[in-house]
Amino acid sequence: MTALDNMGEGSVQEGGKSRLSLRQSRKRSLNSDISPAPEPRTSHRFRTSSTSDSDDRNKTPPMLRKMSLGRNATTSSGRRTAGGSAQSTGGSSSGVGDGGYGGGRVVGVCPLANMGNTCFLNSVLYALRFLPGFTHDLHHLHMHLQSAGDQSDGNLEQRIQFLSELHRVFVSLGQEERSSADNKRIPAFQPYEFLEALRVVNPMFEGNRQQDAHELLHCLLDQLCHLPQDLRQGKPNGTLGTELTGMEQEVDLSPPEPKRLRRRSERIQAIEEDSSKAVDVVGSKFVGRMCLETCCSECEQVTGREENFLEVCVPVKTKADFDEDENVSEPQVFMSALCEEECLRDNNKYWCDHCFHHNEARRSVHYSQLPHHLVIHVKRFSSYHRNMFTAKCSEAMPAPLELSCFCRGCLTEQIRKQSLAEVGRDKGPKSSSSSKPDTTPHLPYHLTAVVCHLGATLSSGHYLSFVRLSALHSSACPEQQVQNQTQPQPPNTSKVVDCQWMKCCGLQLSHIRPHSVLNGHIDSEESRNMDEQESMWLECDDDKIKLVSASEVSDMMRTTIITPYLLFYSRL
Amino acid sequence: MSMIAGHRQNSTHSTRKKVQISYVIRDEVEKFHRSSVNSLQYDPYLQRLYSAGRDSIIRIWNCKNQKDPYIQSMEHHTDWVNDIVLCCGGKNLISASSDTTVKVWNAHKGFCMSTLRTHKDYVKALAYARDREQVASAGLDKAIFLWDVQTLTALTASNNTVTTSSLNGNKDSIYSLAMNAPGTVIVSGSTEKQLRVWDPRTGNKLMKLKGHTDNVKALLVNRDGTQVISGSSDGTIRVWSLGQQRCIKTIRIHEEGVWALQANETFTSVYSGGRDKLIYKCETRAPDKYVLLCQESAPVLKMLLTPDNSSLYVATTNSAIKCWPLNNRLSHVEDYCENEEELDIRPVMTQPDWTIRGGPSIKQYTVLNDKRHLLTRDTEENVVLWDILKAAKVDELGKVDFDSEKEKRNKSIYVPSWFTVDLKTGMLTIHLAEKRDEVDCLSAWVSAKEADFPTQDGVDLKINYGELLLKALFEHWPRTYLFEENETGEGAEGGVTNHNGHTPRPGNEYFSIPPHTPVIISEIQGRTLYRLLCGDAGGDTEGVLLNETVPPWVLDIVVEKTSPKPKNKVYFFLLPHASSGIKREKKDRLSANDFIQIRKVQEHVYEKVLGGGSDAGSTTNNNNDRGSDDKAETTSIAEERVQLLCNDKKNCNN
Repeated sequence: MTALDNMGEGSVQEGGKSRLSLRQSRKRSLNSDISPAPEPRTSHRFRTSSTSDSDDRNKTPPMLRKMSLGRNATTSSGRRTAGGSAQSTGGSSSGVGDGGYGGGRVVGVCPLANMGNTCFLNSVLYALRFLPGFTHDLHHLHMHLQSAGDQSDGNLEQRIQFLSELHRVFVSLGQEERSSADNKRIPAFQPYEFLEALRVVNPMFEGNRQQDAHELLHCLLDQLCHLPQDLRQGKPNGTLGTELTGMEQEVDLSPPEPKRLRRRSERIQAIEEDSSKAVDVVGSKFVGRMCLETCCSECEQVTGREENFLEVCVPVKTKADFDEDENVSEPQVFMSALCEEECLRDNNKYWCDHCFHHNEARRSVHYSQLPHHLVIHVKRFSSYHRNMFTAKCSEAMPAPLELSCFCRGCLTEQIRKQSLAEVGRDKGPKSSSSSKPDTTPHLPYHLTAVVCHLGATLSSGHYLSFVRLSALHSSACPEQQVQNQTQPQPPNTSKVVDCQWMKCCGLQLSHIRPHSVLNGHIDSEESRNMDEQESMWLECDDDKIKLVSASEVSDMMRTTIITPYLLFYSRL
Repeated sequence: MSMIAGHRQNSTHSTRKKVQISYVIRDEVEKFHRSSVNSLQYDPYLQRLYSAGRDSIIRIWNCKNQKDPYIQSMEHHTDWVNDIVLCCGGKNLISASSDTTVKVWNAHKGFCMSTLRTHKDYVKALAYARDREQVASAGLDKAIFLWDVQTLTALTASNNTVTTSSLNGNKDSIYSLAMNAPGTVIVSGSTEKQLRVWDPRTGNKLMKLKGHTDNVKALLVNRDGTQVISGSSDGTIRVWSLGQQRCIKTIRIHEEGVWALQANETFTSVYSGGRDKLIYKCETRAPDKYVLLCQESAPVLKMLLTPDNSSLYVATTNSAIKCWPLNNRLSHVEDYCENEEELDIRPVMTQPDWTIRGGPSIKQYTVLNDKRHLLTRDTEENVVLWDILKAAKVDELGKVDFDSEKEKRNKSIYVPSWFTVDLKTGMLTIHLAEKRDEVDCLSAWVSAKEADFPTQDGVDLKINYGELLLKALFEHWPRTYLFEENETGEGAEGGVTNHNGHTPRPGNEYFSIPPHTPVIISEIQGRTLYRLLCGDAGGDTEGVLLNETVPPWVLDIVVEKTSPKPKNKVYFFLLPHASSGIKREKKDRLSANDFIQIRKVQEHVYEKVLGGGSDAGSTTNNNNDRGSDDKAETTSIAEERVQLLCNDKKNCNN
């Protein structure tokens, strides 16, 4: 009940604030009148890591704030209301068996309570928690930030607070899980402090309405990437600071990433070097590099622009987008959405600098470097009428559970092999001079988490996530191995080598097992389930967590009710 | 499928898009290509070469006179000419252009007989079936149209419709087209990356040929329609068997896109050129046997094999056309294919037989501050100063530094932009539009004195650049000076005309532009409605077409003589500078037209603010533009005594 009271107060205060922000948003919407028209559905949306916060806030469509004012009264989805959280802790088995995705309740995972339209928050937190290695990296970033000491800059202080609250969520969840008795359901945790910290960092999340999970994820990743950098720039070269930076730098370099070998040009190299100085182990695992290329159809001159990205935005594509006589598989459809080409033609011709003429051109995206964690944002919502309305595209675009690397190096290698096979023995002497295969192809990606959206619009509807129980949650800290290999011992190694991650905020998969409602105790099949964990997934719907199989996840992606919105792929 | 195509522009089309007026600043006779040469045709009887340029001009060359081969220009297109075919035994020429038209020419005399406006986008390729005198055209609108040449050449002003059949099915823009001489097979190449084959006699789709991984830009069909050779941007040349409906050979010798192909009659030898500037000869039966004939100085756009296989004309993105000899012993493949292991192959020829010289094309421009003069730099590094208003070259500055010349010539003056510059043809094309992307052709006002136009009785007038230029462009059009006659036809704008009578001469009272200047009326970013030479506007047919195509906003100026009204106001505060010691309670918020001159402000300060008497050199903050002006007494005193500062920077008065 206390939680409810708290919330009541909170919402009153926020009511005042949100009125304020509404006024601001009106000003912004004036700005947006002259801003460029919404991007076409086919174009990729890029987010460079250089985007500043304020910039970001301006970008968010004003309708997000406006349309959801009366949300509590009208709750169109009906499934999740503001009061849901109070009932959730007490409610015993109401959620069991209501979904069509088999499986049963599980014990050993602490669920997250819905605090009133906070499923957008919960779904992202679930996804990040089960992302292999994420909590570990966050733990170390947190330790680093703690050691960095107090910040005079209020803004930085807030941002540090934000990340440490994120860390604390995982700490609390871990504590709950460890302290709970074997077969008891763990009461749902309310990530209230984190939500508060989020609202301080980004006022867009103020108020009690449904938010865009994608905006939250982007805000989070943005902080993870930029806070450590800003911190270093903001402070003088303190002794402790530099040592730590140096150490972390090594850590950043050390993960076995052969991609450093395939630098494409000096320019990119310089940028890479720069970003490698960052202490953001967490952030850097999400950052990739893409190149947007335009090729004029007349002179075939290619002009390109390289930039960092935190996520890949893809349009929804279906088999209907292809020729009937082309037999495309689901993974091919997905791949074509990832590497979509845009043709500039008709009234949208490209003005070619070399031809001094409006010509047709082909615009394509290449990924020069793909991150360790690949976040794919499926563009299901398109705004029209100057952001007054959003339309949702709920067509199914099944994402493959395993995705081979599609960076430029891997793709050209693939094409090279194909053409070699075609040419066979009689290949011309010219083709032998083309680039040699440099190294082994990159590891494939595995789908590790999916944040899904239900409902018709961004401001209504519901989020839930599917997370994969990856065996890679090994308790072995990668940094320990690193420290063993590198011979010079920094003065404060002891602290680092002794990785406290598991005890602090780590997730112990061994605790997770199905809760047999019928027997009320763990049955003898526990061991069998443990073996199957590799292909087992959790469906996390706020406080209700169910065990599902990988094939059930695949089936889910073929429906149009539960639509995948954010996809998390990791190299395992 | 058949359709009727009007060969003259339907005037209802013009109302949809905004219409602009453009003109080209050029010499009366442009003897040399100014830009890339897109296509070539050869007349073996007269030994004439026809070349189609991106400078919108088709030129006729006499191959018997290699010293001075220029015979004539064929000018009527307004954008790149992309392809030409010579038909009727050399009597007629058909051309395809990015101005979306196909034109029919009398090749011997060099005049345009008719214009086909059926395509909706750039027309990129033509194909010709000699035995049936049939021509096909295709382009970025994905459509292929079949034309009967006899019908096309019989078109007149009164008999101006032609029946065409179209071949549909292409899903992407067509960049290449080929038809065999008997007209039994037509093949198209497109960004779809596959070839499509039809029977032009029935319009039936025959097949699709897949294999290329990029745009197909060059196509050849053999005489009996059994084999096709294609060149693609993916760098490969493929030989296809139409009987087997598959690719029978893939030739990989080029490093980059293959843009031009030629083959001998029997299809045994293929000549290929492309983006890598290299021209190879290769045997289709043994693709490993190839020889590097020559290296061009620029990417190869088109090649032409003379009927006796004795020489190869090559057109590139340079404006020159080179003729390479083939009867030379060196070009026999058999002699050279043995040294295969030698990777660094040197071309067997280094010097062409002869070259048709090309002219430089303008590659860079900058509009000077006075928004009247323009500096350009061409491919030969020559810097030229132009007067946009008079549509003429002012000075050739030679090979000087472009940027320092720009610095030197920029005056401290502000005039709004009123025209846009286009270099697509390698020559200067100036567009005048009503209001487009903040560029309004009627926005530039200057004082006549400043523009170096003599003023009557010393009174300085404000002149509008756009107004004067439009009047000069249409000064030969009788409707602009004969008031009685123009009332008859058009009802809409024929209301009240200013019969004020004091237009002593046609056009404007200050200057004329060269009569050879091409004037183009076109939709913005769209199709051309009409092109004529400035001096030809007096003709009867020209008058009819001008009535149809000149947009109302231009009629207002040149026929109705309505003067444009100043549109932009500037607002500024006039404040005493801190150093002047003058205290004023009120802030004066003033407004003026955006071409207000500093002297006017100084006068205002002297008369109104200082009361005409104070001796203090008062200083003032204002906000905008400069210029200079007339009036005798007060001005000079005011100038001496009042110094204006704009955001704390001193304004110089001249």
